[in-house]
Amino acid sequence: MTETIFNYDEISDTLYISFAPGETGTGVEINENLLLRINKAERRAIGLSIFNYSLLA
Amino acid sequence: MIRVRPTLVQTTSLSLNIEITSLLSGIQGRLTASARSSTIGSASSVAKGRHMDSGVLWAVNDRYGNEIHPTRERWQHITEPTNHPDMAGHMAELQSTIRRGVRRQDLLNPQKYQYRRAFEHLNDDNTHIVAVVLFRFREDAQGRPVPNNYIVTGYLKEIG
Repeated sequence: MTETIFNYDEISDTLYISFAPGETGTGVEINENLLLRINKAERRAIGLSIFNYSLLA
Repeated sequence: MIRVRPTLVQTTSLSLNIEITSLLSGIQGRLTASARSSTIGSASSVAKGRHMDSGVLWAVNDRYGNEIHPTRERWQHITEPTNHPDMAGHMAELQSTIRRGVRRQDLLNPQKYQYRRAFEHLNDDNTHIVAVVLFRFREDAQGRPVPNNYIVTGYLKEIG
């Protein structure tokens, strides 16, 4: 398993957490500020995006 | 500190075996110094007005008459391997989402809007494209404020 990468973008105020950089998948909105990206076939999380991160943290 | 109950994940159609609560609780401490320094650099670029005035890829009007654009830097940002690489190859759909999609104002940031539109040909069971747009202003050559509305990020998602 590759190392988890944390990448905060101030312009969009988004924290991207990547468990599998470069891998494409299906986006599932957990709520209005959390997007979970998954590999459905393997039932595996590949990324998590937290919107409005500075307001939530 | 963000607290997300694991039950939220369990209510999705997939019972993913992940523990989001513990993941999020450790985020603050694990943001690296390099990530923070790169953020500071981005902020100063925006403050000086260089960033959003250059590299505009295209500009279209939404259904409400607002002109909106992405920049080359934002498109590269969106499609980076660590961000939303699923968006690569969907530039035309992103533009269509702005032109024809429905929008919703962000609950936490009133200057931010999400545009959403359904597409039938997206990969990995995704059904919609979402574009996140900031509504801002900049100064024109005479120092007057003019709209500066730009896409800051975008992603694919599945509904239904």
